[in-house]
Amino acid sequence: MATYQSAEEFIDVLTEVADRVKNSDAAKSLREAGLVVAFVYHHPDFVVLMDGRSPTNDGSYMSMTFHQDLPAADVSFESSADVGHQFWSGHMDVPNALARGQVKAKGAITKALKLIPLLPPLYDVYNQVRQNKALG
Amino acid sequence: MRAAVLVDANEALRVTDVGLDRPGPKEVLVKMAAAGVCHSDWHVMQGDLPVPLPAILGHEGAGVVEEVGEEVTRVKPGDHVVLSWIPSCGHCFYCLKGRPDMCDEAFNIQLSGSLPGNVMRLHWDEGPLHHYLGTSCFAEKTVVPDTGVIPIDPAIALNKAALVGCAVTTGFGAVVHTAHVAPGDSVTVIGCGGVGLNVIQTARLAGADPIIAIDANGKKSELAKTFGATHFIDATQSDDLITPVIDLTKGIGTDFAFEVIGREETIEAAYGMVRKAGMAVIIGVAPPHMDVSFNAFSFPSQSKILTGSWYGQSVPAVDIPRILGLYQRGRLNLDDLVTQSYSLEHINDAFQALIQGTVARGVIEF
Ligand SMILES: [Zn+2]
Ligand SMILES: [Zn+2]
Repeated sequence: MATYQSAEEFIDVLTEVADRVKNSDAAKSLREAGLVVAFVYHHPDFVVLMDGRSPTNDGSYMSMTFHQDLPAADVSFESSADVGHQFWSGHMDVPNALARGQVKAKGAITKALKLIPLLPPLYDVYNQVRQNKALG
Repeated sequence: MRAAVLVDANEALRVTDVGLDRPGPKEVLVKMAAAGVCHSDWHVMQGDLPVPLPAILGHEGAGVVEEVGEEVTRVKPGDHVVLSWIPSCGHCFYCLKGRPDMCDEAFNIQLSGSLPGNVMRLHWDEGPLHHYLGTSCFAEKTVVPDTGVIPIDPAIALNKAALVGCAVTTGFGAVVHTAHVAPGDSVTVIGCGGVGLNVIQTARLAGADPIIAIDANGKKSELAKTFGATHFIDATQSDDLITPVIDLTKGIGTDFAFEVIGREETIEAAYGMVRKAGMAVIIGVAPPHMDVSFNAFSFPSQSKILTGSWYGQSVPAVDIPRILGLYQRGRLNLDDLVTQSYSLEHINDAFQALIQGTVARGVIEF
């Protein structure tokens, strides 16, 4: 069974995650690096854009938006939505996933990989949000 | 005689009357008993594998020698034979190197749609009629190079022996010759058609464990397990084939992955699911224009071996009798491979069943 039956279901979870982490250390580092990161998912198909460069309405460090086509980004990570879920839930060894071809990366990978050590608190938030929504 | 002609790509086979000349020097006329229906024929019918048309397809067959041309010494009339679709020449670079699967002359025959020396023995009212892989066994009779007939024990049922002409030898050889699977090695097989099932049963014979079978048709689960699969993954239940295989192999990845479909996603997944320094063997025949992509850093850092296997890297004159011996002594299962027989007149039904995945192997019986 696929983890998410629709893009809406996945977007609903990520929207809440973004709201809870937009002022976190990870978001702050994204802002300091001035990075725009895209996650391109398949089955269901949609794109997540984490923008740490453009100014935000509420002064937070980053914004997260959802798209059908790939907007301009410094780096993009393409995978199935199932593999995307593994990433957000903290069950992915990113270098291994890249080597196996489960995730295909393009662009400023080195800059983006520097942020990985800051991600574990995000994983916790993602897993909590899923629990609250009775998904995981 | 009656034969199934492919006039043009994307058409059904036309079962009609065609002419066949007597065998020339180093050629053999075989009266067909049985011919298996293989995905490669289907690829040609779909236009994915370009060969000269019109042609009589069929490359997995067995029958009885009816007449031999001059200079033929390896068989005589009355001999039971399996056809080999790589009638290796014995004198090109690859044949001399001990790799008859890569024989240049056999490849030329495939491209030219003729017999060695650009000879054509087939004809019909509508002009030239090509040979296919030097076999053309979707016909009551065929003329083939003498290097393309392998004599077998006449006690073996020819409808079982036919499958050894392609599916069984391809799967067996990929495990034995290409991969050298050893006891306790983990093996994953993507695609559980006629070839895939033979990869599975040969892996079992080699002592592999676990043997993970993957197919997009959940109904193949039982069949895969009959042939020795210890686990089955329904590919429609997960977009990511790699994660479940990693989970079933203690987080390491599989020692060997065999791709038996010939699709971009599954070839990439086969490479991805193999452990570091493991081996991915691509057996599936993809259309010639298709490309795949792999992570470049992983080549040195993970040192996996990515290779192909064509006709099981076999030496048919050695391997075909060897496989049939294993069958006669109950070590390889050919009986459960043939799940449906058809007459030549109903050959298009056999192809429909093939693409719907409702049979392990359909066989035309003459
Ligand atoms: Zn075949
Ligand atoms: Zn040769």
